[in-house]
Amino acid sequence: MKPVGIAIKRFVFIGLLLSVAGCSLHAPKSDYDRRETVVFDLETRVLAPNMWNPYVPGARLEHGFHQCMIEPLFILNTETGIIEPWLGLSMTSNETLDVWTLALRPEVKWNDGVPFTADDVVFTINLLLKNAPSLLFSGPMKQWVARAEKVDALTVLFHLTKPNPRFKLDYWSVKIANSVTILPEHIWKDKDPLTFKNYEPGKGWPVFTGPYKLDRFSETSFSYRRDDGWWGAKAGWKPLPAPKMLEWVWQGTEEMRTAAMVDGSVDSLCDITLGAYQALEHFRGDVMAWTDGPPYVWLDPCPRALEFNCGHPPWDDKEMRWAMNYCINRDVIVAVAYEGTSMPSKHFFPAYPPLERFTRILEQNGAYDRFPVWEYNPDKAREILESKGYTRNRYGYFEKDGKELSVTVTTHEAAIELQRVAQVVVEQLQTAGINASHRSEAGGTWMDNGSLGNFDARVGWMACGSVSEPWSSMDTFNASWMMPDGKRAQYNIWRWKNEAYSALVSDMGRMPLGDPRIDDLYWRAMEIWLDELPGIPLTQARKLLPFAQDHWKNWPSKENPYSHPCTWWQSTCKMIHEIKPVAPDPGKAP
Amino acid sequence: MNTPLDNPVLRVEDLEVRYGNLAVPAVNRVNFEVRRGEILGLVGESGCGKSTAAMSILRLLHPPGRVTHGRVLLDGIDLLAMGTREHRALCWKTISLVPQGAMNALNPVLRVENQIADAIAAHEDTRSKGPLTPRINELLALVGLPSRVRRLYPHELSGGMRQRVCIAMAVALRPPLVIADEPTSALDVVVQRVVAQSLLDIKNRLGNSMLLIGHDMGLMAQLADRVAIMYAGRLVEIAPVADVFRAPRHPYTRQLIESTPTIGQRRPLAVNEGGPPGLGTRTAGCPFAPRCPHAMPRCANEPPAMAQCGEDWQAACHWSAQP
Amino acid sequence: MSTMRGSSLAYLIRRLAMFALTIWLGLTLMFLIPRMAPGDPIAAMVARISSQAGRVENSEQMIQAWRTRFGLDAPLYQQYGRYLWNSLHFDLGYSMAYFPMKVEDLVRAGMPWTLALLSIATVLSFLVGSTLGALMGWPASPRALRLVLPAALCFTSIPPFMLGILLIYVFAFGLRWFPFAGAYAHEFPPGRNLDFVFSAVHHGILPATAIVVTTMGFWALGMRAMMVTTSGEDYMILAQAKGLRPRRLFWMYGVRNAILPQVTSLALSIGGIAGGSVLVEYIFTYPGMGYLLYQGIVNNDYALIQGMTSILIIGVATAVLIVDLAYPLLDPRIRRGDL
Repeated sequence: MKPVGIAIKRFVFIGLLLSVAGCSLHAPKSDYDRRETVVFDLETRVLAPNMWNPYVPGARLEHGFHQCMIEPLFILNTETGIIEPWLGLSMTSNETLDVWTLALRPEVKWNDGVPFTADDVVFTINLLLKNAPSLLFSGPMKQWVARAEKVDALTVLFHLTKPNPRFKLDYWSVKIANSVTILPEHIWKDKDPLTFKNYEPGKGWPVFTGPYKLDRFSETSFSYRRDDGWWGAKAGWKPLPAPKMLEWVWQGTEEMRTAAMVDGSVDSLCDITLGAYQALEHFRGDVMAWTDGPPYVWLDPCPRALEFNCGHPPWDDKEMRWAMNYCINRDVIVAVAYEGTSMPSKHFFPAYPPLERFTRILEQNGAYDRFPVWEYNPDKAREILESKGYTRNRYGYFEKDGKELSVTVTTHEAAIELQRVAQVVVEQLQTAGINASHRSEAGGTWMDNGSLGNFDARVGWMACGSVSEPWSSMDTFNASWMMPDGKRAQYNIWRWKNEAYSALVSDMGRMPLGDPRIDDLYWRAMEIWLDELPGIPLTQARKLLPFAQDHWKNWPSKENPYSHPCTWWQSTCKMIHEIKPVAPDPGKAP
Repeated sequence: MNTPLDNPVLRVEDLEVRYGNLAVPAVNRVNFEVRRGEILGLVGESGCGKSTAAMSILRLLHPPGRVTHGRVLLDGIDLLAMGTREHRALCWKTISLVPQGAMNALNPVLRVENQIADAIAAHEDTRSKGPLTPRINELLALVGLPSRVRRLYPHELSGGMRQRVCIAMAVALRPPLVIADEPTSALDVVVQRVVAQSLLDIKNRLGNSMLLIGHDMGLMAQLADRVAIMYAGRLVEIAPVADVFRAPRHPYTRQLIESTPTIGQRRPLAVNEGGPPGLGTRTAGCPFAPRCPHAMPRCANEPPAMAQCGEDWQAACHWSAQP
Repeated sequence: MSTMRGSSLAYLIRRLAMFALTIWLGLTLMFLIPRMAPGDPIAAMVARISSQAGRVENSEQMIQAWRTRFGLDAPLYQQYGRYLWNSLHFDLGYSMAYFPMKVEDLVRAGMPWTLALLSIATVLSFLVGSTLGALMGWPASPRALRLVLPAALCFTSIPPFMLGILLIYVFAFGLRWFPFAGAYAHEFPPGRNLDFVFSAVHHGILPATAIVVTTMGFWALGMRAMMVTTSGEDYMILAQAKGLRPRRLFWMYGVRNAILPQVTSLALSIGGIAGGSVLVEYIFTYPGMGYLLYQGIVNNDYALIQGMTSILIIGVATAVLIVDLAYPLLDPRIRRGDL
């Protein structure tokens, strides 16, 4: 936790890698020609590697499946806020936002040569509606779609159950991680979608539209071979992607992953620590990240926050929550928990360019003068606590009626980053006289405790949802989601009940994207939110994603933001088309 | 045949054994011999050094015990000066051991036959198991055990049977000398007799010599030809067993004899209060003096030396040496 | 002889009854424990998706639908009855977290790797560790050896993951003698051919070494203590007096007796290897069962936990049964069935 510790860690990293570097940089490890193969990092093992059904709840997608085999209809560019077409050409709504028209790109073919048409889209929707809510996305489809109707081979009408301005953005565009997958009707029509594995190598399954076909796989590594008959190249929409092979490989621990990149056997890594990145830079001048210099990181769309169960006393009192806010020094969290590679957050939105306008609205209205979220002021905290009748006991903790003011902050067991944040927060609360402690819970348990309201405070990714517009995240605080403790809440697990806020947000939700009336509703709702502070924003969520440039170049970066750098998202399908070999392909004439 | 006096099987000369850095030796310059065909009893109370002396002769002394002086001559060859390998080749063939009756002396996971065969195989070139079986049967018969015992494991035998197996094993290679270290201790009285009888029978049939270690003068009277009495690491008297019983020269010997239980009555211990001096305390004079009913002023200052006091009779006592 | 045979039969029956009881108790505990632990398997499944995708809409309805599908809404006694019935038929059912994968298929994928790696490593560790321990506890060992051996055991105090990383750096990255990850080379997919076998062995050496080196200390220490005790036993003194060769003294009188308690531990560890070794699998990205079990626990996947633990329980119970039945061969004192 201390800077010394970080220095030691860096030293150990460099020391370990030094022993390798001298002799390890020659001799490619892969049996493929590395000049034709891109190797991506897989963060966890895939225990069911022959499962290629994208809709069962246990489905894994990020091992190349939705990056290079499934293609999306649209992709939201988080940098520009523009929704870029892919398999879809356009998707527009009527005035009342309850009928959406999807136009498909002509000449799209499944990789077995069958054309991709409106029938497949209608089939997929019907399949989801029929199997709701068991399949992924089937719940929201059931909620929103009354009927999908084929107009012609390339046009589909969606008749919604009620108006939804974000229908295209939320379900058909890659906004966070993935989007609704269209299935080939001719493969799936007689199958039980709950048990169909969609894998039969003899038949060429799985069939999707992407430019790569499944080559071979194990639990720890997945290879895809370029399909030179890919529809996009044939139709002249995009040339074939440059890599002949794509691999996703589980490398193990962070040390192993880092060493694999030093070794040249992997081209990109999922999130690593600053120490590991500095070691990488030490050995390879050509390694790059989202930014050239510190903080190197790209921001994940789910900022981190200290969340309270606002139904549990004393945290049901907004002044108590504000007192906690004054105890927290975000600069220290960034410096200690993130080694300087993140930034403080003053709301629950990611700091993406399309959302900057909304942050400015808050600042222009003087929100942070009235609600100094970033103010670290233990004296104010003490004043509030004393006004609530708390006094310091002989151990230095505040207490009232003989009861010590204590709080347990829980975190997700797999989220090391959040545990480090929680440790700093706990230390700061302790210093301020609140008997705080930290407990890490198994992932499922933590999520379960969250939705059942079985917690006092936690460090989580509050209100994840907004990327290019503010409503998605704001709606998660809507009182309409309220559930009593012990009943599963889908959103608003914080049990914060504010009718005025909820009414404003509900109004916002009915307006088309970009409607000018949104700004005012937004400000009025956020005013309430900041005043009440149901959760304490802490930091932006950082991801440090290194790319090696010895075999492949033109990776995305802040200077070259054609996509964001998350290689486990479906949007990576765009990255695959953009990256180019460093050395020209020896087999081809220049 | 030479006279027994001229050609002893074993001669122990000036043997001194110390444990670590203790002031007093556990065995203090002891001299005796075992003559051909005889049973020499080595007697004394616990801790007097008799077992230590026996272990030294067998070279089984474990650190911190070590021989600091003296020789152990077997047919004129000093066993203590031999190399380890050389000694190992010689040991069971020349001197064997019948361990204490209380000892867990047999390997619990090996059959009786294998343990006897082990002893033979270590010293003879035995290619196949065939010729060994009759030999083992014969050895068992020698101690009065049926041949089926051969196939049994130690835990399947009674204490007396186990001890007889040990005797059979001890004479497997017909060694000229068998050391029997309290062979009947911890056995019940009837079994003691059986074991003692086995030892005597064996000796009579094979003609070997025997060094019988013990504290029980009754057993000595039954088995031994001569007895050597030890007290506090020193030899105090050595003589034919009949003579000693008739007229012991050393007061300690007398006390030992008087405390021997005889059938039907048990006399109270005739030894005076107190016990033998510990190994940590050095005494200037006779170590027995504090317990001796006949102690004289001289006894406190001047250790008595072994002196001839009859034909084939030696004792170390100022009082009995008085004219 | 007939009484002996009778008591042997009674012994056998008693052991078999114990075997069945152990398995029933184990199965029951493994039914109850995951259900007593906080968290719900379906919620965990959804949680996993939402920690990837930020959130899952309508998750509550989805959880309910799958709970019903997996029969988690049924009363506990019904679930228990169904579970026992299925276990009797070796039907491990569907994994909840990886539906529609069957637990059997998941287990079948990892089992051969784990069994091969861990059984070889465990036996090697036992042999090497016990031999080292025996030499350390043997008074007649050369002094140099007795000084060197404890130093060799220092490796045991290195945490397995550190040793794993060390091995990888030195032998995989540095010297390039061994591959650094996985269970076999890409170009030789599993099959009945020598290339694959060599590749698998080649890949197994470093993880096996990590396991052997870090676990052999356990065997060595136990063995040393037993050997010290044994070498003071009376039969050792008599055997020495018999002039036996040191090698026979060491093996047949020393090791043969000192090894007895070790064998029980060995059987237990062999029975338990189906559980895999999470850390070693993680470091060496080895596709074994440890990670599977770990994931089962993290995801509250009752079916997976029950399936894997029932294999473990049966494995350990069988190992214990075999030891019980085979122990008399090793230790004649237990041959009469008087346990």
